[in-house]
Amino acid sequence: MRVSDSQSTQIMLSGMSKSNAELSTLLQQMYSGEKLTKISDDPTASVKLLDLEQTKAEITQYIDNAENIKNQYQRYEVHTESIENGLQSANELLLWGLNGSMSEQDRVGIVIELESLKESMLATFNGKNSEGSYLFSGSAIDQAPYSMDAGDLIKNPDINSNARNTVIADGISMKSNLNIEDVDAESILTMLDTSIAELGSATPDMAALQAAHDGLLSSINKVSSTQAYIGSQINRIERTVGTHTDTQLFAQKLEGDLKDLSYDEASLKLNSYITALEATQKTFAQISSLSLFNQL
Amino acid sequence: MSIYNIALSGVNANRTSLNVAAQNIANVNNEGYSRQQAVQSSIADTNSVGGGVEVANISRVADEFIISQLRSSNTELGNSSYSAESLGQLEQIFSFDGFNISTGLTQFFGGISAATSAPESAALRQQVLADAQSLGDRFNGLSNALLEQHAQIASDRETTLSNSNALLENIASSSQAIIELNASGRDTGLLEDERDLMLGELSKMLKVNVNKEADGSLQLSAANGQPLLINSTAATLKSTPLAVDPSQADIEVTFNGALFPVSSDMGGELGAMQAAQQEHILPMLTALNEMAATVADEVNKVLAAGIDFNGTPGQALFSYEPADPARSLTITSLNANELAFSSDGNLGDGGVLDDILTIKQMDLPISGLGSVTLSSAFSALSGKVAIDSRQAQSNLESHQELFEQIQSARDSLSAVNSDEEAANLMIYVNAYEANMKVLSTANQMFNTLLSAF
Repeated sequence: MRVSDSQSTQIMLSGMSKSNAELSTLLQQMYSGEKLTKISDDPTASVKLLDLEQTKAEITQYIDNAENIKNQYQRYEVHTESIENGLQSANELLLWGLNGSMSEQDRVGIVIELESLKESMLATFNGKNSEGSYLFSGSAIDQAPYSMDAGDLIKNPDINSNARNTVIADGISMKSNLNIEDVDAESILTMLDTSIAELGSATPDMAALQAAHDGLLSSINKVSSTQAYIGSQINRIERTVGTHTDTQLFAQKLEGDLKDLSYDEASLKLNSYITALEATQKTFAQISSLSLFNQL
Repeated sequence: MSIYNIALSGVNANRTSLNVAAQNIANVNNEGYSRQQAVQSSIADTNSVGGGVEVANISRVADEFIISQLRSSNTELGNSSYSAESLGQLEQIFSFDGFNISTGLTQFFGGISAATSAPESAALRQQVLADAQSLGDRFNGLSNALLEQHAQIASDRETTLSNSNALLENIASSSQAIIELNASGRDTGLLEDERDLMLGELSKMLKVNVNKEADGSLQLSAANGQPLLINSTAATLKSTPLAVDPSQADIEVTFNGALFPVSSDMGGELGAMQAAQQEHILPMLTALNEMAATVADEVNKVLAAGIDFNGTPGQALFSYEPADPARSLTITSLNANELAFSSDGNLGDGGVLDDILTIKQMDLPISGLGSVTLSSAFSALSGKVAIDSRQAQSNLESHQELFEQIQSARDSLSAVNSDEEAANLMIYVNAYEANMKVLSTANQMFNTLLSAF
């Protein structure tokens, strides 16, 4: 076969330019640490990566949301604990009050303590979170459950017992609030009012006081079961976060498999490309210097 | 015939051959040059041994078949290289983080999802506004980038058309020269090489049917038979932008005052330009427009059923120009308190947020993609660009390889080999000197003859 000058130059040059292109892609990969230099390098992987990125972002949001509800429940936990402590103190006071042998002064003391308990209970029922939202008003978060009008306690008719739901996974919402019913606020306040009235009177109606104490015991039960409920919700959130974290790790691993460059493989390739390029260059230089004209 | 004349014809013929070798050596790096060969033949003389030698003709070593293969390979190469380049640009646009609609959607719905934990939170509401604006920005940015490429292709088309017109003019005048030289029996090799190069260049831009005659006359026509050139008369290619879209155009050929519309597939670069616009960019813009309009309409519809922080019925969050949704998608002037997240008027209620979140999972009809969720619509578009670009690259590679093969076949036959020319140089110099020796021998013989008297 006849090989012209331009033909042999063309063969050498196209070989060198291919090696150069391969080298430049490889350097780009090594620089970025990623296998894909552009999405067409692996269309399927690029679509999977888009989906994984979305999954990761969604999960991060779900974890944030779950942590928010957990904070909210922890706040409720503090509040119910203070209600429970208040109820325990009321219990002691009422037991003392039910015990007939006590002086006028003792009763005044008990009444003062019960009144202060009532105030702190009210403050708890009217508690707010860091956003300034009332904790026990259902979804009417701008409405205080209770207010005082000329010494009379008034329950706000605008509050409700609606659930406030937060999304914690695809299509899964979780209730994130407690209502005044959950902490038995109504009967606690009635019980305290009755107790204060009876113990404040010169002739307390012991039967009414006994009934108030029974109510108190049932409130303690109710609040304890609410506390257990809070605990179980927090557990559920932690489990959800755990699952999300696992999924997150899995997505990260998949992402790594799809896009991370193996440096071992890359450096092997680098060596072989460099060798090929050097060989082509040397051959080119040698062949170019061969000419019959040198013999003339 | 005398020995003098025979030797002189040998000197002359070999000098011509040396000139041809010199011409070949001089043109060793001239792309498209076809080497020449001096064909020597002996001069017959019936009365004696013969009349010596002459250069019967100087032939141009070229193969019309290979040259025509090279032209069609040029057409394919021009087509596939423009396609690969324009898809490569599309692919870059789609990989740009700031144009990632999928991320924009994830952030927007993420903001909505975050708001479910405290719909009354001013910070979270503000975040929803910011995410909505950024989603709009992404749609605007992506569709602007696509429209810019659309316009870039239009300007490439204009440049290519004016280049083809200039080439057609040059080919016409070159053809005229070839025909005239041929008629007067002179060598046209160099002009033909030049014309073949120009035809190759023209073939890169559009598919050209070539009809060449031995006398040098030439007829060119476009893929569907529209006349482009007859001998020294060239046609003009002209584009008329479409009224509905100035970046697209109808292309017409004007030949001798007559107009011929050029049909859709012109082949070459011009064909690739049309394909890039009609098969890639425009369907993509349509899909993006539908996505933008859909996300805006669906979100607005759900918000309309809600009640905002001030107790008034919900207003639209997104707005867009119906003629151009993706490029104009933005948020309305409503403030964070006017986001109607509550389904019953209670400030802590986030029922509407749940409804907005369902839009994320909804299968919505998008042209060319079927019924898909919004974010999978974007991955589908991006995946399509990636696959098409990959396809275009491998097309380009195979056409490049084919072109190189044919170019190599052409060069193998027609290009100069300097070793060969060096050998020719030696051979013809030797022959030249030998003939000179014959002359001096004849001279000696003549002197010997003279001295006998």
